Amino acid sequence: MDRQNIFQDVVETIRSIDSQVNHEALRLDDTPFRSYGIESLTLIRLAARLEDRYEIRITDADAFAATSFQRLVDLLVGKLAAAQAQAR
Amino acid sequence: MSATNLLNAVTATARHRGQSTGMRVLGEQEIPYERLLGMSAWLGGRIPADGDGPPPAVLIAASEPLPTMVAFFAALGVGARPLILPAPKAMGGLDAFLLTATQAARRFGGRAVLALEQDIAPEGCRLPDVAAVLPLPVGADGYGVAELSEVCTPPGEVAFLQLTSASTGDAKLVAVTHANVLANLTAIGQAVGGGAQARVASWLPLYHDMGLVGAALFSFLHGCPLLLMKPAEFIGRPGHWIRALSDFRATDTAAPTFGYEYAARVTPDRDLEGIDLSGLRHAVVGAEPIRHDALQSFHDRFGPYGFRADSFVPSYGMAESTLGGTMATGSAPRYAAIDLAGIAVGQRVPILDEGEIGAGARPPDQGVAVFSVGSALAGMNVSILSDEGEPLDGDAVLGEIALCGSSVAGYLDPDSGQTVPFPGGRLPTGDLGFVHAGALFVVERKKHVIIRRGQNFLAAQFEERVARILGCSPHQVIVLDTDIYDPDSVVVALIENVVRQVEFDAEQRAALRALELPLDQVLLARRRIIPRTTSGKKKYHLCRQLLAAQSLPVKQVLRV
Repeated sequence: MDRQNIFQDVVETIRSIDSQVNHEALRLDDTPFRSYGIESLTLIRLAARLEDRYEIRITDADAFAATSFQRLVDLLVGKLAAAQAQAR
Repeated sequence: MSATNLLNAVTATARHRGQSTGMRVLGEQEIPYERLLGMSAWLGGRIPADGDGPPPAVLIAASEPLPTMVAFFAALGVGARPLILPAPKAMGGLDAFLLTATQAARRFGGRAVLALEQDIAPEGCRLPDVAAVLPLPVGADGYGVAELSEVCTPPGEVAFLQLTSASTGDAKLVAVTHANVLANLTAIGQAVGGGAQARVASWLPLYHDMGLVGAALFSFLHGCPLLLMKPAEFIGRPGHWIRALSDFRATDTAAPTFGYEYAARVTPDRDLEGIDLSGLRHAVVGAEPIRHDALQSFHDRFGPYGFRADSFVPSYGMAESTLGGTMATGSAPRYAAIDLAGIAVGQRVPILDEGEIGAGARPPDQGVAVFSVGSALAGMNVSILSDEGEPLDGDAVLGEIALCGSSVAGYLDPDSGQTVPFPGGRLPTGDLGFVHAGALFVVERKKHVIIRRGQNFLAAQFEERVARILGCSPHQVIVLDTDIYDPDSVVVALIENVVRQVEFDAEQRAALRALELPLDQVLLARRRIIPRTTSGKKKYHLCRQLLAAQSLPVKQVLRV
C-alpha cells in the first residue's frame, strides 16, 4: 500500500470511530491531531483498530511520536515494511 | 483481621491462600500473591536508603500492572510511601508525564526514589530530580523472589500516597494510613457480602483510588483472584473487558459511568458471542456523576447476556476517604428525578418522581435523575452541611456532603512529611447532595472540576489559559460544562465585563482549539454577571443553572 492509500484507510477508520471530526479537513501533513479536534481517546481506539487491521504492534512510544497524519503514516509504512521483510 | 498494617495483612492472606490465588494480567499467566509479594521483597532490597531510614517516597512510573504492584509492595516493605504516577499514555504524552513526575518529586526535595518501568522514558529524557532511579522490569522473569517478613509499621503511619487529580497542576497528595485502608477494605468487603469468594476483574488505572484500592488492594487483602487489564486496552477494545468478565467468571468489577456507557456503545456484536455475565454480582459505579442513560444502556445491551440491574452498585467516595464512603448494594439503581433549577442549599429538594434502572425502564419524564449511592459504609458517617458548615437535618434537604470516620485520610504536608487531618476529622467533599429515605443522593459539584471521559480538568486552570489567550483577567472568566450529567455537553467559557464587540483572530482560535479540554463556545457579557459567594468565589453550580435557564444577560456567543 502506498502512503495515500494508508492515509485514506486511517481517515476512514477515524470516520467510523468519531463522527464529530470533520473528515474532509484532514490532510496528510504535519498538522497536529489536536488541531483537528481529534482527542486522545480517539487516537487510542485508532491505534487498536490499525493494529488489528495491519497485524502490527503500535507501542506507547510509537503512539506518542505519531502526533500528526504525516508521522502516523510514516510509522505505518515503516512497520508494514518491517513486517514484510520479516515474512520473507 | 488481626494485622495492623496493610503489608502484614496481605502477607498473612497470601500465606494462608498459598498458590491457590493470585493476580493475572489479561493474556498472561496468574502469579500467586505469595510469589508476587516475594518479588516485592526482592525489589525492596534494591531500594536505596535515605540516610538511616527509608526514602520519603517511592514514585512508581509504570504502564504495566505487574511492575506497578510489585513496586507498590516493595515500598511498603521498606517503610517508604509508594505513590503511583499516571503513566505517559494516561497523561496524553511523555512531556505531560515528566511534568507531573517532576512536580511530584519536587515535593520530596530530591530525596524520593523513582521506580521506573524499563522503556517507559526514552534514554536521554530529563527525569525528575530524585535520589535514585530503580529500574522495574516489565515481565515477572526480571524479578527475584525473597523471603516474606513481617514489618512493624504502626497502623497510624502513612501507607501510601495518592495524587488527587491526574490532570491538574495543583494536585494534592492524599496520605492514606494503614488504619484507613484496612478499615475501608474491610467495610467494602462487608458491604459486598465478603471478599473471599469474589473474583475481581478491572481495567481501572492503578494510580486511581478505584483501581488501586477497590480492585487491586481489595483482592490482595481478601485473597480473591484478580484480573487486571490496562486502561488503554479497555479504551481501544472495550469488548475485551466484557469478554474478560465472562471468561474469568468475574463476580466484581468497577468503572466510572463513562466506562459503562462506552462499553455499551462501542462493543461490537462480534465480540459478544458466547458471553455470559450472569456471574457478575457487583458492577460498582463511581468516580463521576451517575447518568441514567449510561446505566440503562449498559443494562439493555448486556441484559441478554445475563447482566442484571441489581448487580450495579452505585457508590460514592474519593481518594480523601481512601476510596469508599457509601455503597448501594442488593437492588437495582434507584433514582430521584429533581428539577436542578429549583434547588438551593438548606432547602428541601423538590422530588418530581422516583424510579429505578431495569428492563424496559424509561428516563424520567421531567427533571434529572439523581441516583442513590446508598448508606455509609461501616465506620463511616455522612452528613449534609449548610454554606456555613453547619449540619443540616431533614429528608431531602440539600447541602454539601461531608464524610467522617475511619477511612478519612488527610493531605501530606511535604515540609514535615506529616499528615494534616481535615478539621474535626470531617472531609468536606465539595459535592452537593441530600439524604432521602436513608440513602445519600449526589446532585452536583460545588467544586469546579470538569470530568471528561474519566479525566478531571480543573476549571480554574482553563480560566487562566483562556484569559491569557483572550487578553483578559482570569477573574472575568468562568469555564464550565453546561450539564454535568452529559459527557458530551457543551463546555463554555463565560467572560464578563467585556464592553466591546469581539472577534477571535486565527491565532486565538487555534490556541483555544489546542486546549487540553476543548471549548465549544465563548460567551461574552457586558456586565459583571458571574455569580459569586460573599467571599468572591465563583459559584459554578448556580452559573450552570442560570445558563440553562437563559437567565444570564449574554450579549455575544462565539463558537470556537
